[in-house]
Amino acid sequence: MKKIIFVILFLFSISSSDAQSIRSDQDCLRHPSFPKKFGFDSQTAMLSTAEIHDRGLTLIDPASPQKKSYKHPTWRLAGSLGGMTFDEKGTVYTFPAPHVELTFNPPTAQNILYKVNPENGIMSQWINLPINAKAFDQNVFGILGITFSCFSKSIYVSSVMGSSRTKELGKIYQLNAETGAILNTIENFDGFGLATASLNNKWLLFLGNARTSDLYSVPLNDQGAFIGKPKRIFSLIGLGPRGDDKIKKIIIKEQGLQITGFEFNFNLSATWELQQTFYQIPLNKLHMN
Amino acid sequence: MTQDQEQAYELIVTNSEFSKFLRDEKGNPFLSEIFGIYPAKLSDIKNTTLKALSKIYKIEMYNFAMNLATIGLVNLTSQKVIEVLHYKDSQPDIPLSLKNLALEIAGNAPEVITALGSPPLTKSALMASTKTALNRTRCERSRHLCVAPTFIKNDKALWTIVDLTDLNIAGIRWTNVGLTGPAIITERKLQDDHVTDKFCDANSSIVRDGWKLNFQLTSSDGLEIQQVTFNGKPVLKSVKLVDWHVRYSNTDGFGYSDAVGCPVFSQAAVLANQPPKVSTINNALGKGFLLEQTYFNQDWPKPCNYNYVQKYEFYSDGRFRLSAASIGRGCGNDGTYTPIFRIAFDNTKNISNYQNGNWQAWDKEQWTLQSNNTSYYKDRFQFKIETQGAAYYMEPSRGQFPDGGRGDFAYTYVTKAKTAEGENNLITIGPCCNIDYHQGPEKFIEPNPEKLIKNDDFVVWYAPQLKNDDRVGHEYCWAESVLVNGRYEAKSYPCFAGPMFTPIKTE
Repeated sequence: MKKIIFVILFLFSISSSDAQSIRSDQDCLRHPSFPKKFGFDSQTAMLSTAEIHDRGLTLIDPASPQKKSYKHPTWRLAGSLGGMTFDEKGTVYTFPAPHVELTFNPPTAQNILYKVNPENGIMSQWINLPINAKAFDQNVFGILGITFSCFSKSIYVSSVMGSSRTKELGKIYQLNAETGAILNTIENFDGFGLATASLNNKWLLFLGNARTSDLYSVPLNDQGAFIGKPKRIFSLIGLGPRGDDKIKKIIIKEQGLQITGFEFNFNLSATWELQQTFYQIPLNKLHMN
Repeated sequence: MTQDQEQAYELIVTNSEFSKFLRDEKGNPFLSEIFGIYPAKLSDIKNTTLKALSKIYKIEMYNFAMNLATIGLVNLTSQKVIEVLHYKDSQPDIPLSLKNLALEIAGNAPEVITALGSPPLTKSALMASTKTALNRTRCERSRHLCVAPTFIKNDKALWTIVDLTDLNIAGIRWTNVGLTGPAIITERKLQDDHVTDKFCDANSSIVRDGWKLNFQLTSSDGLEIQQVTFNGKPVLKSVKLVDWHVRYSNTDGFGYSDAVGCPVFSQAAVLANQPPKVSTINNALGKGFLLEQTYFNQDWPKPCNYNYVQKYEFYSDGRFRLSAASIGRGCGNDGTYTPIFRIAFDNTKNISNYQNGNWQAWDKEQWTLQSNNTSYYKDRFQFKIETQGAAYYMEPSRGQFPDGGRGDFAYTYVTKAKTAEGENNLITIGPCCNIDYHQGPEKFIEPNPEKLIKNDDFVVWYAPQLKNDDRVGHEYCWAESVLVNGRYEAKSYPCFAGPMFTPIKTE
């Protein structure tokens, strides 16, 4: 049973003097059509990567009387999975992330992006990001975050592959969504959750950091390329029940960000009760200047 | 209390919503304490009319067992309870009595006195450079009420996390005093940083009772002992606990391969949160010392959380025992636990299995299962291991050791020693849920078992099978929370397994 704590830290209230506007960059995303093909109601079906008794992707319908579920034969291909995103055609992009064990998630396979065909549901390897690691004793993780950008037709990926307790060697990639080609990278940054948005009509990428509780942002140009280095704009340090959550997911809301804070210390977890908390952060709490 | 406070107390204490969490479902009382009764602030009162016209009091209560804050508002003018709210995993501001208690616990803690060089509170006049502040902090693992008295000395601050639920010290740490103060100090950070710095990043050693050994916490193979000698003679190259397999019989293929090890930046899923402990053995088995390491999940003993113990017993007559236990609680009462030990002797020569009244030398890589039909030499020993300078009998548990173990039913594998086969840290050795000998080490044997030529170094892999039990009076590999003095405590039923090794000369 997953336990999720909601913490509304600050009310979404912005005075006129500090008015800012934020717009999500995910309006073009579509859901895949394959749930219907597999006999699911497309209004209530959900894709899950966190089913306790099975690894991989699972199609579930929580609204159905017997909590109907389905697993395509290819959906265990990558072992346990982390997050996912869609594109404008309903293609699902996902990545492996070890949870309890490494049997189905060997460290060398944690920098591979997978794609699920929106119509037939077949999952396949898409892109192998570089493996810049020699040893995995201290870090068995690779990709930790992914987001699709509608304005630049890019996919942004965060990977901590190769990092250790003393060295931050992760990378942020901008990929061409059509070809998977690496367009840009940010070096030496262990990113976690990602989200692109337009803030005061300027595009930027929000980035959680997997080593600290800090939220960063980096401006993007019209092609979605990074302009400069990430800048720290907020921190969850001292907030929530644990006080040092890492930012696993970022959702752009009308007046701020909804952040999923998660207990993460570069080790595995034998429990399925996720230690995570939702934080609502208004725009005027972000140190953008 | 003032007359108003007494009135507020009388009003709230009889309110059924306020008293909702004072007892468990069986009627046993939780330890709860009123932390404060005081006039409500304007921001506490939603009804603006009441703000102007009434005398409103706020009552804050803390439930130590549930880590729950209950906040009530009463209107003394109308003699009514206005509002009662319960907040999980929350604590009200602590009262002066608990502040003083925290300072007293911290000020008298031996580790604090040692760190500061003298008692920090009682002789304050003599400690002009020492000041005390009481900071709120988090005990996010135990979910207890904690505060952190901080002793400033020169340009450093000693944080002392005091657990006011268990009335002890959760940990201490020196920090530099900067302009913005130190980063957040929590129970988990204190524990993890200490274990990582001292036992993951560094080797430790013990010299005692004729034994000499090094030990270190690994990324995912538990506490490894290395270069073990007895009376100056080599005994073991290395012993470690590479995995715990947990399979649940009621759900086909459901279970986990849990690795145990370092708490951060590791491949472990069940984590060492306390340092290894060394203690004296003086019992029916003999005299010597024990090296022990525990691993846990934060919410243990809640369901689907795990807790393991790893023990090394060294006796002054040269015997030693390697053991491990699950303390539940896991995801069900149909679980079978299999710890996988990797045991590498120094300079091995031969290994023999006792069968049909004789020692049968193993001349190739293979495995066997300890069953009800297994023969034991002198009704104790299943294997004989010869090294260049010594020989040992291996005695699996059949319930004869005084630790509650009910027998190992272990698979024993022997493989040729190879660097790539477990000398370094091993990632998950095998799947959780096989019900036969496919527990992982067999992959170093199959499909073509190699010959063990005399004097070839070999490795012994030992994989017991421990079936859990939650029946009252029969609990095994199990744990539950019980209410003691109004607070929850874990009651544990470990299932220990592991072999004893006896030097042949002292059998």
